[in-house]
Amino acid sequence: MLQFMPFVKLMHINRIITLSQWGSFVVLFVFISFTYAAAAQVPESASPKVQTELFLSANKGVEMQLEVRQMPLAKVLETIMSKTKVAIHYSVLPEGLVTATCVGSTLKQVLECLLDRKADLIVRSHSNSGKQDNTEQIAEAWILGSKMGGAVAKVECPVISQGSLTFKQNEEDKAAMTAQTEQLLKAAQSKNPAERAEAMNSLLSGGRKGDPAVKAALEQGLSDQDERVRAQAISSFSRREGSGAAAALQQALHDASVNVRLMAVDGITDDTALLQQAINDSDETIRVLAATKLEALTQTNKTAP
Amino acid sequence: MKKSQKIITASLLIAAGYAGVVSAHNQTGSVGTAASGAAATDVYQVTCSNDGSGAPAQLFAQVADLAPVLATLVSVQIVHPLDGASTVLSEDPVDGDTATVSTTGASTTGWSPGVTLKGGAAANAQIYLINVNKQYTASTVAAQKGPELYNLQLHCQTATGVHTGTNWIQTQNQ
Repeated sequence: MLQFMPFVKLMHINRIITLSQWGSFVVLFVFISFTYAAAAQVPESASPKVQTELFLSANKGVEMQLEVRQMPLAKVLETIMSKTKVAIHYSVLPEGLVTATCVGSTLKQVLECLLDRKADLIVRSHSNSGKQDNTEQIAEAWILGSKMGGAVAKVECPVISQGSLTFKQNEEDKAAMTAQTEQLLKAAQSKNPAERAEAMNSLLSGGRKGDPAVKAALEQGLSDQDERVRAQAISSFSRREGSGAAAALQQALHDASVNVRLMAVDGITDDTALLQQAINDSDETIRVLAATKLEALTQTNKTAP
Repeated sequence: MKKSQKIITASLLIAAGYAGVVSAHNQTGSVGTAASGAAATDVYQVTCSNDGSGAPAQLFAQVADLAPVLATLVSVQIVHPLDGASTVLSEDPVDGDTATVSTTGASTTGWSPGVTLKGGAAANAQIYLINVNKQYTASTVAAQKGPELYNLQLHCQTATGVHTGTNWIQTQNQ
């Protein structure tokens, strides 16, 4: 398959890199839904409202966010050039209307997402590319060798990242997330233990990623006097922190509360040492859960290449 | 999309960054606690992707209610967060019976009936929520207290039922 992949040439450093290699970088950041519909089949009068939005943000990994709805690719590129001041050269473009959501840390990533391997992309980097401004990472781009000449009825190529997903988060969403996190952090300090426990649970998905205040609140919950709070805290903490929660899980496995120990075992993903420890717990349910997880891990390891 | 929906969706998607992506297609877990009655739900966010097997079109799920045996049962339901579409609650009728290894969509013992929800082709359409519920039964409250253990099986599929890329994270644990 690889030999059929189009090539991307980084002219500045004289390297040739396949798009599939670039894809491995981009796929961590990009969620794409990409649809080309033949322009000839969409009468002008029947076209839905056209829209292109390009957001630049300071958030690492999502600095460039492109949202396109039913737009000719040429119009999309014009918008990008207008906003980034980066020249994009092309002769023939894939025909049809584009619908895409592309998020990445560089313009190059966003362009690769936008083109969806239907054309080759060549970029020239700045000679003083030590500069980290995203719009400045490339000086020029060329789109060559469109593979979609002529009318194409409809091609749908949804590509979803294998790792973290990122959607366009406009300022309104960010503000809402901030407000939600603040509310949960406040609830985490409630005098009512049921409210604190609920806050610990909600912080799993409702708290801002990487927010030290969220981590601190969960860590505080790990030693709460109420077992319900400790149980929900270890549940959320283990899932948010991953392997960084091993010490907390280890401690929770010795908690006097069965609920806390159960939540701790529930939060163990692939730490066989911790599961081996839990398999000797005094509570039958915990032992069964630990044994079931160990068995599942063993099966997974057997089938792994 | 309503503002509230956007916020929920954004929250769920941001949560995806917190947890490692699981590559297997079975998830063992517990729902409920020693103190809780029937009202407990674990929620998973599932993302279907094209892993080379074809474009994802639907999600299949079933659940096995594992021992210890309680008066409550465990059910599973798939929900599509974009349009609110959902499957029926699919309940494993027997708690603690041996669940034989299931394959995608196969009829096996020890599991709830399989449920399938189509996501559509729109952007974000291949993101689903799975609710695993500790299900109320007409029994005494005391008999319903305690955690239920379960084995959740989930498979993203193409329109023709071919297994395709399946990743998930837990977004609620009760």
